[in-house]
Amino acid sequence: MSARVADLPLLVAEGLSKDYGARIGCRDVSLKIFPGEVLAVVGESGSGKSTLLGLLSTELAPDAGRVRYRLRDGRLADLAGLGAAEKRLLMRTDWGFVRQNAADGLRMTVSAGGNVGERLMAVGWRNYARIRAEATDWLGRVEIAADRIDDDPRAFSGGMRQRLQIARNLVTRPRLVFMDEPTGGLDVSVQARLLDLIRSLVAELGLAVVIVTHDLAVARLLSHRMVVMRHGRVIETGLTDQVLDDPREPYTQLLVSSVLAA
Amino acid sequence: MSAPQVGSMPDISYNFAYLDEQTKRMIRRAILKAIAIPGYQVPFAAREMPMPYGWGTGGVQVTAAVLGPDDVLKVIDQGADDTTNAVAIRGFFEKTAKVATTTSTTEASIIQTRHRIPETRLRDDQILVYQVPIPEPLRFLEPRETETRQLHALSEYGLMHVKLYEDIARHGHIATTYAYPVEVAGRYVMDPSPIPKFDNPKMDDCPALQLFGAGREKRIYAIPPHTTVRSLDFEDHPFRVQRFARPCALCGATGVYLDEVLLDDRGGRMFVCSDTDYCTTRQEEGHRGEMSPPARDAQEDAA
Amino acid sequence: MTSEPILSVDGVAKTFLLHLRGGARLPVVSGAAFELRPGECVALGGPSGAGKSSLLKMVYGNYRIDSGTIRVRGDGDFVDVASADPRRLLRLRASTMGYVSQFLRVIPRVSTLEVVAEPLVGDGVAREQALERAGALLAWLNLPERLWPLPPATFSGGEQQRVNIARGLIAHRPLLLMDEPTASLDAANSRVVVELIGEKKRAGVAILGIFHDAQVRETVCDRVIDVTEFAKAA
Repeated sequence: MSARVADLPLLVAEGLSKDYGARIGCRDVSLKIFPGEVLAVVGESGSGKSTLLGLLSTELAPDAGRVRYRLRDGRLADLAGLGAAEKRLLMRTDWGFVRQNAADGLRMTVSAGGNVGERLMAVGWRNYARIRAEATDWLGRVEIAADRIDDDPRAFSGGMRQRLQIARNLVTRPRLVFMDEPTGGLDVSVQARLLDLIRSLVAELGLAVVIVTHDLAVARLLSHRMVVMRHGRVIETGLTDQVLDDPREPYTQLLVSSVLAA
Repeated sequence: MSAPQVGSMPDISYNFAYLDEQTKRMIRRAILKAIAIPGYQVPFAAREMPMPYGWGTGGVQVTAAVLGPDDVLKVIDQGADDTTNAVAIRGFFEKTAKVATTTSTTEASIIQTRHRIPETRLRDDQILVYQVPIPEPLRFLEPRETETRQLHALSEYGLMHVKLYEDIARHGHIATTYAYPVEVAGRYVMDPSPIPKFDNPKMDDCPALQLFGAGREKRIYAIPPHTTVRSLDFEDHPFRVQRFARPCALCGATGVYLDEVLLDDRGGRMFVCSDTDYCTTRQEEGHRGEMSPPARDAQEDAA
Repeated sequence: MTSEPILSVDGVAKTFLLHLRGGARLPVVSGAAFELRPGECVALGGPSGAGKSSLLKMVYGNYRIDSGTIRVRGDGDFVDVASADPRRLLRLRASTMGYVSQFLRVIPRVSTLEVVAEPLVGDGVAREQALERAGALLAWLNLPERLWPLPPATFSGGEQQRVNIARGLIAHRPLLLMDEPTASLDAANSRVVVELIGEKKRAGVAILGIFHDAQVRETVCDRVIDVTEFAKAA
């Protein structure tokens, strides 16, 4: 990728706000995401980080503000202005969404191969052998044995389900992937394997990632930049190592000092 | 409580074809919309009918709405005119509309069907009415109605192929043999009701108007005459209809859909046309199968 | 050498504000100013707690500063680490600034060989070639070959430090920041590090470091900057 393209933001969010009645979801959040960049959004439960992810991915509509995205033709388009068809096409080709609960991101009654192949079929692949070969390849890349291709995810462990979700999302070579606590609820050893996998795939494919996590170690390992949220607002941003090693805001200092050292 | 006295029942008169005129008009509007948007499921205010769901309440309402006094009605269930369901519905319209009924495909102007399309090619002055249990082809993989509507609206039919993919993955071939999904007029994907996939090609470019009614799910959809209807498939697993190893045991027909009939409890069986009218007509024309009665009868008839 | 400086620190001040301790202020440095030229190795001197490590981290952009400038010549022009946007700073680190910390930050499940080769792969060197060079460097640092396929998480302090040094030195970076690179090493391995630093200097690399070991410091360093001066001012 040329430096020029990498210099143009992939996604630009401006003044995003959303409330849930009297409860604040997200207040006046602006940020940019660049190609190949991993941005971590950290904060406690209820800090607004999941709301922000929902707004960025257009799953939620903002009360104020807008999200623009650079389409493959180079145009920076306001996502609210895209038609439903265009938006959904974008979501299933150029974007991915890895969810904390695999059941929300997978079709649990469809085989692993079918889960991975769905996006291909959605964009018009009509050759069974090719779909299967591509699915097999992706299962291999996420370290799922080829002989599990016809098993459905209900027979998979938590870690395998997350890896399957990743394969399902990456099969169309998206440019931007949203991740909501992808390692949440997994055993530590399983987490490590998943983090390593995400790390190498992100680097290999040059993915831009917005990852929401409450786990600062995950943020440190995966992200380049970090956004700290509290009460719906972004209170601190910077390079991940800056924010974690030299936190400025009282809340960030509290957050960093609350991490258990292994 | 006393038992009703036989012979003293009040003389009940029904509105023509049971439904009131307002209801029929409402259903006709839905039908017109369905014809205008081939394959699109039009919601309609399905009424309670004097029969249980699953007995063709959707088809009966569509038939009632398109039926006129001069129509000749045929009703088939699994290809047969003499099953309980077919007889009951035929009787229903004989009683409520006093229309002529027939078992002959060629004589009928409206044919209501469950699970089959007649073997005889339909004409442009005929209407085929299907009884539909579950009209939504995407339901298998997507339980949310809001989502399936979106998928139809945006022509996002990847899911249909996921279903077929799963078939091949599990069975080595597309194992769906009935209710095989079709794409209508290059736009909407539609469930053709539980007809055998053998009948799918008959829907394509069919001269007759095809109407589909789902009573419980309150949906009507349609295939206008001479519309392109394509069965979904993969390049390397193309759509194929069932083939039968032998001809009909009674009329010798080939290239038709056969039912297996068990003859005894020692494994004896025969394969005969599922379309009883077609089979009978052929037998009357002198066609014979391997298990036909001796040809003497026919000679006697001819004599 | 009279070439232009690669690093120019001017008027740098930093105070930690500890909100969790009732807003206690912990001054680190003030008025820090010095320059570094290509091929030069400079030690930050002063007792522990004088802010040597902190200053090194400020140069790397790991710690933010309250005032002053930290200008690094990278990709042809000067970038102020203190005010550069995060992405510019990341690029500067990738192209120009290497950092050898005291402790290895372990990446789960990644083999030692991969950990060391990673900066080269990031520079666009073919993976095979990068792994080969990583192996050569680890061999030079006397890290037993049987350890190479293992993640370094369970290694001893000295082994981890050698992995860290290999990772920090494998790729060419015109400016190297080293925080006690020989702290956990025995004499033999310290000598290897000294050789490696000598090689980097001959290649024109400027090195700013903290060298606790007096012998190492005297061997590799051209001069010492006394951080006490900056700390006093703060």
